[in-house]
Amino acid sequence: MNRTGAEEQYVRLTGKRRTWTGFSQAWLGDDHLLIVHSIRFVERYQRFALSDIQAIVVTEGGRRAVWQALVVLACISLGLSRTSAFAKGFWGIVGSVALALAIVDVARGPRCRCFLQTAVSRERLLCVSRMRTARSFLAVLVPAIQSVQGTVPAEEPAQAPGPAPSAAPASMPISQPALSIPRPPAIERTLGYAPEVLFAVLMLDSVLVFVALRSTIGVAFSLLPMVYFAEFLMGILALVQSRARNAALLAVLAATFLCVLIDPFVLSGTAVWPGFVASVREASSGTIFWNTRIGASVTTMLLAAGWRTAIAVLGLLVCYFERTAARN
Amino acid sequence: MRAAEHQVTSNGIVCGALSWPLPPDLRSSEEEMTCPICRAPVLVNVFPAFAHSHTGSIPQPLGENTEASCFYHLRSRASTPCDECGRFLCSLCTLEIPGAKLCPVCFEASVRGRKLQHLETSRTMHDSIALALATVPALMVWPVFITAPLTLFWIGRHWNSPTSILPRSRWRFYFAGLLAVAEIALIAVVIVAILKVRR
Repeated sequence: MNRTGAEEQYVRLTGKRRTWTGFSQAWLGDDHLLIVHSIRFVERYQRFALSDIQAIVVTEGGRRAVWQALVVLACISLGLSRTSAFAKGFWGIVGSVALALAIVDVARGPRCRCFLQTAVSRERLLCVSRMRTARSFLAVLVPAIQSVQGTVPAEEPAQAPGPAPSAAPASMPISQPALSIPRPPAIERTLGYAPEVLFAVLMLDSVLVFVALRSTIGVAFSLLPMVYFAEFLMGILALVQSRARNAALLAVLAATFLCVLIDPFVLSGTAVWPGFVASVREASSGTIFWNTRIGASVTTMLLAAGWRTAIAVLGLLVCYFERTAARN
Repeated sequence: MRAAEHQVTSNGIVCGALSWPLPPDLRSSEEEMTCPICRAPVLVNVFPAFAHSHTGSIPQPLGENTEASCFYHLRSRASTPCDECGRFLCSLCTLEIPGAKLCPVCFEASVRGRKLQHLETSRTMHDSIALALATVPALMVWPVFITAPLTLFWIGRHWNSPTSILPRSRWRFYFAGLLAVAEIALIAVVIVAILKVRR
């Protein structure tokens, strides 16, 4: 490890193990194993010094052949039991996809779970999920670790070391000298601004929603999807970044996100929907479609704009008091 | 139950299926074996670090009044100064990294300021953000009025920002830029067409 800022060369150990939210991958550095967890827009890194790795355990398991066969059989039986050509075709396609996935799964070999153990942690390596991957992973990593640590004598692993001081069982009493050891200085964490941005967006959206519900279908369909998208995106961002925030702000954020999810289906969205349906009906008789006015009630408009304003003001106040308390 | 599980994991190497401790003869094997508890095939690699006990250093108490004390612990004897701020540190507060000894505050500041590249725990993928800005909002048409220029701004703002510490090409930036330019051109064409029709 250097401090000069020069990029380190890494050797790829595994392919990308993809999930819905990103991927996980293992790389080998000069003196450490690097595990990359990607969540699309951010990569998080975990480094394990080769000298600290105590053991790697790979356990074969997690077979899904029975479930895969059941899904394929269910699709075939459903397809055969239907009379319409569409239903037969639908279940045929679903069954074919399930069968193809099962064949690919079998071809990739048995699944496994890989655990990397150090003195203070036991980490599951998600990127090593197949026995074939595990063998190629170990074929590179084990010699690298042995070149740093050497090889273990045949009888040495049998003498397992006692629990580390930090890993004592919960039932064991904590010895008094351990309490007298001074703690290192606390490090202050800076607070992010994602919640404030969310509440500012809500404040702006309250005006936009009010305008949208007072105007025509065209204006509403221009504004509302943007409003929902921005609120949803900022809500997720604020929740993700609020781990270190106080309980009051967390509660306000949770309530905000709940309201953001509910609003399109019970308040502003349902206010637009009847007007949209009516205008579609009228469009067939030649009436101009987008200029139809939305017949939202005043109560709905005030509620849709009101909850946004109220929660924005409340949230901004909570943020202000939290920052003031943190400064003092 | 929780205490029992903790004890199991703290006793040594455990099986990946049931978190049960593996017998010593299995731990030293290099070939695939069968776990006697869960009957799952298991591959175990044990390294010499397993036999070494890792204990942290305890700071020495201050003996005489003439001795220098730690900046953070007045009753502990200072063992080294911080290479960044020069504060005296006891062995508990000294964080050794290759080429330097830092106090926790300077260490945190260096990590936050990205001075210690090899200790970075995360990086933002600005090229992926630019690509998402250029593609996802286009599905809803109207946001493109804002996001297309924003994409170009994002690309310009973060062109030289550090990306992944792993090998990564810039194709996302190029593609996002091309898409954004195309979207802006399309917007311009639509506006001109509307104006012409109105005349």
